[in-house]
Amino acid sequence: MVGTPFKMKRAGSVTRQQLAEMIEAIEFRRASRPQASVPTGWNGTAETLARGVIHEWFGLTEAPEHFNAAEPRGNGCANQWSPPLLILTHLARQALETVEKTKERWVVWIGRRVWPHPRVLVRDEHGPDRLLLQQSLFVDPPDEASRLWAIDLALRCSAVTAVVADGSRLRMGETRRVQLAAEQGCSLALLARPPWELKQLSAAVTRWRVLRAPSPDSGPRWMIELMCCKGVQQLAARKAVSYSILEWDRAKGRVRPSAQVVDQPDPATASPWQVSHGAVRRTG
Amino acid sequence: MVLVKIAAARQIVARCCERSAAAGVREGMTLTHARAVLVGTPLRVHPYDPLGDEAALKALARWALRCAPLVAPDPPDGLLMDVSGCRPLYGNEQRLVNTFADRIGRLGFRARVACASTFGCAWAVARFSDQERSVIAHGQEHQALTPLPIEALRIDEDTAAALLEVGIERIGHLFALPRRELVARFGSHLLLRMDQATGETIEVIQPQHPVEPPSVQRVFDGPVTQLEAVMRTVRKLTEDLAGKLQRLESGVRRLDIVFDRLNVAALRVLITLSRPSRDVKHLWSLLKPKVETIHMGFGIERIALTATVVGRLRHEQIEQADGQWRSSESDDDAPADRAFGELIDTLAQRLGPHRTVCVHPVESHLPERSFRQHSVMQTQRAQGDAKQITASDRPSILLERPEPIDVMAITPEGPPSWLRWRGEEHRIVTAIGPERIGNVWWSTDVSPTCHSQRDYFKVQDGAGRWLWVYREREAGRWFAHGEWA
Repeated sequence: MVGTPFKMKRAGSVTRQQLAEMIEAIEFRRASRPQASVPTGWNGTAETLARGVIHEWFGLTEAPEHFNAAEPRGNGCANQWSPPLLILTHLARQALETVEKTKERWVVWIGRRVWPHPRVLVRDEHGPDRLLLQQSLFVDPPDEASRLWAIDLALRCSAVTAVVADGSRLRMGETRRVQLAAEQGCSLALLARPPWELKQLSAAVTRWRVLRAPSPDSGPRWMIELMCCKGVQQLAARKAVSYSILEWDRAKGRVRPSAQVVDQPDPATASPWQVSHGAVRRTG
Repeated sequence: MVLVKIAAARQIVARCCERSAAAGVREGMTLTHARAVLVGTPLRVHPYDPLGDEAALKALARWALRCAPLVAPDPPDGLLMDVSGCRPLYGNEQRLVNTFADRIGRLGFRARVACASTFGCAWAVARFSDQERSVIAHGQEHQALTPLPIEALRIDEDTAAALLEVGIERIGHLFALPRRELVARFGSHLLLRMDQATGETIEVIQPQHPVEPPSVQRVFDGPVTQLEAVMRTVRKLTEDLAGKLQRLESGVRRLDIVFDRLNVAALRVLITLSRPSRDVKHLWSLLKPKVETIHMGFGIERIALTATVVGRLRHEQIEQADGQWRSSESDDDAPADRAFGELIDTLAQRLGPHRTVCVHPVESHLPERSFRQHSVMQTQRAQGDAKQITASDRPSILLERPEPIDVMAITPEGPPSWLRWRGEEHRIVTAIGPERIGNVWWSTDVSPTCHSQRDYFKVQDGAGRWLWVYREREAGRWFAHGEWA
């Protein structure tokens, strides 16, 4: 289901051409309107993320050889996962900065788990830049039903540029509902999910796994992996690169591709990927 | 308590309470000087907000309309009331003065009240007389003004200084001087103020006009017990109210709905909006969940909708399409700001205003106090509080409460080399710090964490996890406070 491809004031004003495009869109399961995209600023990996679709980001875990994504560890571990907030903050800032400045533009953070510390929302590149902080709205739904309702509502609002939400325990049908809302509002939908939900079905167009990577510098570093990418238009985002290493640039308040890669895997360990210039390519 | 304003990077006392004034604090004094004067006395300091004070004074003037037909705010701290014709209601002027002073005293204000035949005389006596409540009889203005200082004439500081320089300290001294010479030396404004005080010249005030809030109501022939009828009536009343607001070019910010029930106390429902709106669809989406759950008792006899707080909205063009008149702003091309206002109204209505918040920086070096959450309903006012933010590196996740951790360190005051947090052991490979954050010795907060110095370390474990941990210098305990994720 693609959702409503056109917004029309009155049902009687549909032209034959528009009707043909609508039918074609439904038949070929694609959006008839080309969706605007958000540049990530990460050369060599996903350069853009499409608006109007869901992008799922799975929470931080250790390196893949140390992590078993099948089950959470222990009974009390359901709350012990960390959403990749610095990456989500970077993407929200990118979405905010690519919208026309004359328009009302807001970023909505839904779920206390995905509320970043406000200091991260302020940059000091050329003096304090508080745009993201000033244009952020924080919502704390008390339960899962309210959280889904709030995500749906925020995504349908035309003044919202990006929605960053806690997507844990969302079932397939609920992600479909979120996807329809995202299509209607054309905003960037970023859902943070725990790593053990990676195998759950979802209507998200792209699914990203984030792994912690050791850093020789003074800031965190991650290895991101594109686990799933649906649709024809989003294929350009893949660029045949599945892995990439990113790091946090505190001065600029951005996440950038790592300039140098440390701890290159030993070929003898039969790892299926190799590292070159910040991007990790699958070889097998 | 003192109110301070910033002037040339200095904190200047703009207003002070009576106790501070009695201790020697004066307006224009620096805050440091005031603290020195009040040494040993706890001092509460708040920012001076002249616009807020002005708005509050106007609100007080509107409140005072219940005592007099014409009331004008007299900034920064006065009200001018025209009580002509009010004497029969109170018996005499003294009772009028007492009644008003008692009423305003119940609001928490301590007022000096004077009643005279001119505004200038009442102003002077209220501020410079020895008595808090005074009544000056008609024809006694000269006598009442004579002993008062010349500042009681509402003249500017330069004129007052010039008069004091030549030894004119009391208004009575001015009355004894020839008027022509006063005009030549001190200007015509001085004579105007004298004449206004004595009643030789009429003084006109700009009163606050009482504004009836837009309201609609429906009285039923008998008690109605059908929810569907009640809902249809509320919907129709909402449309009527929106029509009224459109004629006023206004939108509702606070909507008060009263259901008068048979033999039961009236039921009141309050809707608060973040921005003015007269969109029936939006108002109804907020009202409907409330109306659906009301308890109708033995039946509802009357429903009244009142827009108790309204705000200006821009004019809308009306266009004709398909034989029907409609607003030029349809739902599809609604302005984005209106759409966002509707979003936060809907969120705040269902989740509560405290669950839909914006964040603003606060001047504090303690990480847990450097930002404050405000309800979206207060956003417009709170945005003015933005302060400079330090360029310190802070984690993306700050724990609500610091969590105790077990730590091994090579040196007593050095960084940790191993730690256990939430049952997991971490071998530390990188440690950056310490960053010392001092205690807030000047704060009256009883929280123990505010009174201990902390040495923060940014540490990385072998798996690449960056944590923010600190050691309390006095107790030597270690805590985890955040994570870069």
